[in-house]
Amino acid sequence: MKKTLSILLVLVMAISLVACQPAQPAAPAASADAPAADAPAAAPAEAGASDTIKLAVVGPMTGQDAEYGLGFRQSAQIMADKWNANGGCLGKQVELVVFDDKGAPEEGANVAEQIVADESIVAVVGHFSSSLSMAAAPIYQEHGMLEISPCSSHADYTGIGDWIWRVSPLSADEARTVSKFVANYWGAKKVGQLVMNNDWGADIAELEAEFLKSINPDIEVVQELVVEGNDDYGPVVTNFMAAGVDTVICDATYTVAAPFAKQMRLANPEIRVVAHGNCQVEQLIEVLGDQSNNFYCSCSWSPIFSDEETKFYCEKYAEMDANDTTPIGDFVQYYDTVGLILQAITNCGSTDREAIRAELAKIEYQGLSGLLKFDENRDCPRDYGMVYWDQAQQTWIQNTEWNS
Amino acid sequence: MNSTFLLYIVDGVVLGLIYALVACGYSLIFSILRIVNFAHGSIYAFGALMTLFFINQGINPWLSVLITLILTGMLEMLMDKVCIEPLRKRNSPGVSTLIATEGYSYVVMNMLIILFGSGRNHFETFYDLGFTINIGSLPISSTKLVLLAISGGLMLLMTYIINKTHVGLAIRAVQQNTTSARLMGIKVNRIVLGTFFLAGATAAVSGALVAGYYQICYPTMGMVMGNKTLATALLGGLGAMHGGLLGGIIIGVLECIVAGTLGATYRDAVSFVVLIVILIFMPSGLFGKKDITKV
Amino acid sequence: MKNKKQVNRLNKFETFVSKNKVLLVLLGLAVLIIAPFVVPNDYFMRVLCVILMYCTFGFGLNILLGEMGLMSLGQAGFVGAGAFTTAVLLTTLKWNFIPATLCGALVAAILGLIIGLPTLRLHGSYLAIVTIGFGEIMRTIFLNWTSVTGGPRGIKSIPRPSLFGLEFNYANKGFYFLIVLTTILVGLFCAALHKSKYGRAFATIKQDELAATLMGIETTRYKVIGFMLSAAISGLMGGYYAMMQRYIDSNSFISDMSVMIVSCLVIGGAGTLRGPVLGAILLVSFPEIFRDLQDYRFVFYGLIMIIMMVVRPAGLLGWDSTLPYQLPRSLSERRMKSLKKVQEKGDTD
Repeated sequence: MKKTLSILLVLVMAISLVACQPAQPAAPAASADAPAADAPAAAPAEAGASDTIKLAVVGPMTGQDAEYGLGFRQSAQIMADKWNANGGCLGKQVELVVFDDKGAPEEGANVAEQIVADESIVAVVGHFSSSLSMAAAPIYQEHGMLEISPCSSHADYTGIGDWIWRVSPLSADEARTVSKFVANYWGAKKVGQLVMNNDWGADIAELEAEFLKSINPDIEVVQELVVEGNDDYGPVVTNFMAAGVDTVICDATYTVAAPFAKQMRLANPEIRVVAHGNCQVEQLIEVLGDQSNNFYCSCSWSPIFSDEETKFYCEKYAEMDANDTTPIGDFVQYYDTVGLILQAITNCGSTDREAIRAELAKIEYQGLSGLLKFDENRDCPRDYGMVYWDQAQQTWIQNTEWNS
Repeated sequence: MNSTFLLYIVDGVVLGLIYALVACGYSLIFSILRIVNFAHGSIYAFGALMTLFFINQGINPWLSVLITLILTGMLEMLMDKVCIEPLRKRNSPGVSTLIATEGYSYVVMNMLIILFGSGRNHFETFYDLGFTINIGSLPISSTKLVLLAISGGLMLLMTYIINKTHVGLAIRAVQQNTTSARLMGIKVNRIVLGTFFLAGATAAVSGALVAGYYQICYPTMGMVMGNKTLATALLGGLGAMHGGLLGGIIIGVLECIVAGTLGATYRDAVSFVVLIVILIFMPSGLFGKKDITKV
Repeated sequence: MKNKKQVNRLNKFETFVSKNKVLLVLLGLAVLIIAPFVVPNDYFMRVLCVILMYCTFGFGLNILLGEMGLMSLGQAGFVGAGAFTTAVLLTTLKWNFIPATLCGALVAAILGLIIGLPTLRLHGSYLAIVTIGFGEIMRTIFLNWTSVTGGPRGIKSIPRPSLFGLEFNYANKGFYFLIVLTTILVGLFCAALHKSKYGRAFATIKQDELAATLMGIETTRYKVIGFMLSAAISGLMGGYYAMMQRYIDSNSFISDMSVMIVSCLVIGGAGTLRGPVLGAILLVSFPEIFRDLQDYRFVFYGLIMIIMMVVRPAGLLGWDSTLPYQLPRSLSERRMKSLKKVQEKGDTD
């Protein structure tokens, strides 16, 4: 009796868990059967190193941030495939070696040691969050491994050394864009800042406050620090309302911005909400539901752009992605970074890291996310556009008039 | 300023009700087995996501909760069968049970991530009656009232089951002395399984209600919630349902006041600071029985 | 005689391990010394260092959980306290790493005292939950005390340990041997502690606290000392953790770390020193070996925890903890002598 009961229970659970898999709409994370798509990327590197150019692609392929890792991997693969289809780079095939840092700081450094141990790897595209990048970068620097990070935002990141580069959106650029938009276009008088308490949020909030003051000294700024994991933003909303803000800037990822914006708009639909490029994602709109109209984000790239390259990328992405997710700006950073490195290799005609590094200093590469040109700090400063969600048309729309 | 403070308190009371609702799952199992079920947070997330899954299939939300309630109940019963009963039979130390339930929590949560993805999902409020009452200048929405009614009702129901019914009598007998209970003809294993089922059922109800209230659900939603509700259950006194309600409201209100005045970045620590301070003076919580400390 | 009977209850593998203890320890030491010269690259050195660190964290927790039966799920708080103290002393005050790590241990010990005192009356699950809370409170402090811990920006560029101008790094294997040395010293200290009067007091408290009080053991004092020692060991290794990572922020010390430490100890076998060694080897290398499992890795991790507890609740190598406390030889001889004396006295009377 007991055994039958236990077996029955196991069966019921197993069936119910399996049954619900296919119908879940737009599950963004790495699903169990997805790896088939990237099998070539993970293929072992046994063939002679001279036949291929190997780039390491690192990101959180599993764990809490797994929803991003898959997109990174696929985007990088699209660019590599594109080069390979056109005869490769310097006549060699481009091979991506995928590493999983799980989004855990210890793992980031572990993976870095693994990468620098492989002499055949030319450069590293990666590390997503700052904790990991900051722990991994000294290892790359020490071993003279070229690292170009697509997403790290820590203010001191490229200061770690001359092998450490990034094409990530700079906090200063994002902050300037949003501040100008809020102060000039909206003419905000009292601005609330919802700040996610991590290095990116803290930096960007500080910069925004400065920019806002420099544009209009009369602007009042109210700051509220929050941490991820609590979905109740009641006290924060109450404070913003009590302070009488007319605009709120979300310096947070969509996981925080979405529930907050929902609660804020339910409390007072008049207050305008704006966020950064990392919030231009489908899930944010899904969570906001009927409160999503006119939600503004800054952006360097959006799938709504009409140029050929964007169309090519989106098409390829849709082909490759089993979960029908729409690519986001962070994914494109990986796509661009791979292209940038391959272009630099072509320009200098060598896979020698020193030569590539010298080439990077002067390269100008037109990526999807804008013109990539490094400054003396090995950063890529850029200007950003603004997009907003139109609920009637169910799409993002670019606002082109605000900066004129 | 005054009305701001009142708003914090209203928010806090709602948050407290939510904590109490989730906490009663811990209390139920503790009241009978004297163990803390660390997997409850994951099962709570499972409840929310499964309800959403059924709703997306076009099933009525309340019916979805009912179906999910059976599933979560079974998930908890499975946990008892697989990880707790073998340990209980061998009289293993409490630490083993703790690790086993923690392991179960890992399995459930990561299966959820694999199946549903780690992203945030929208969860429509299915109990919004669409009106708002104004008490003085304070607007109280119908969702808050429904939450209050269900939370309070569930608490009353649990207290009633434990104190007034035959099943409750059996539960209390098992709690006091398993051997004598068995000698009295109580089918101990069945009672234990039943309690796990009840705890699972509360996880489904609370998961669906909380997800509906904030209109969001995701596989890791039980992590922070699990920690805070553990503190709630402990503060009220593990095993005391009404204590959980009071504990929840105390923690909820203080948390919202701290989040509003000091900053929301401190809120995760509030529940535990309160807990530690109270436990210094009352080692078994507000309403816990004295003997409980000796585990 | 009694001991022999106990040993008979063990199976072949257990008897083999128990009998060849010295040989196995020597073998382990030999592997530790040879390993860095055999492994192909720094990556393996790093994994070895992480194993040794978790091994030491396990030793620290063992004082609480193994010796006294007190559960702590907040060890990451102590590790973090040690790591941040060391990092601050190394970066802003430019201290040498030896006093810096010792200060880290001291700060952690003080925290152990602070958390130990109010929780003295708590047992079992209550204590476990309060320690979870301690971990959360510490994380909140690391995140918000910006002037010291760097807050959300963390502390970067933590220097490698160096002595007289010689830097200990992976290339010269200095960092590895530094950790090996520290781990062995901590291990020896724990072994000595187990055999001392503290170890006996801890064992009595674990068995029956009421009886311990009645026998005149100041349980309060010993419990607080246990907390402080456990915290100090975790904090000491936390300092090395900071020097290994070279960048730390509050995200490094979340509850996952505490759970990992507990799992290392319990799966290896609480109440023994070899337990955390095996546990750390298994749990640290498991995700490295099974990278191919991808998402399912964490599911398997959970399954292993469950299966271990159901099949072998004392841990893989933990059977010693189920045996009665063995008095050190010097002490048992002394006891025999005094017993004889009493007997002789009785005979002459």
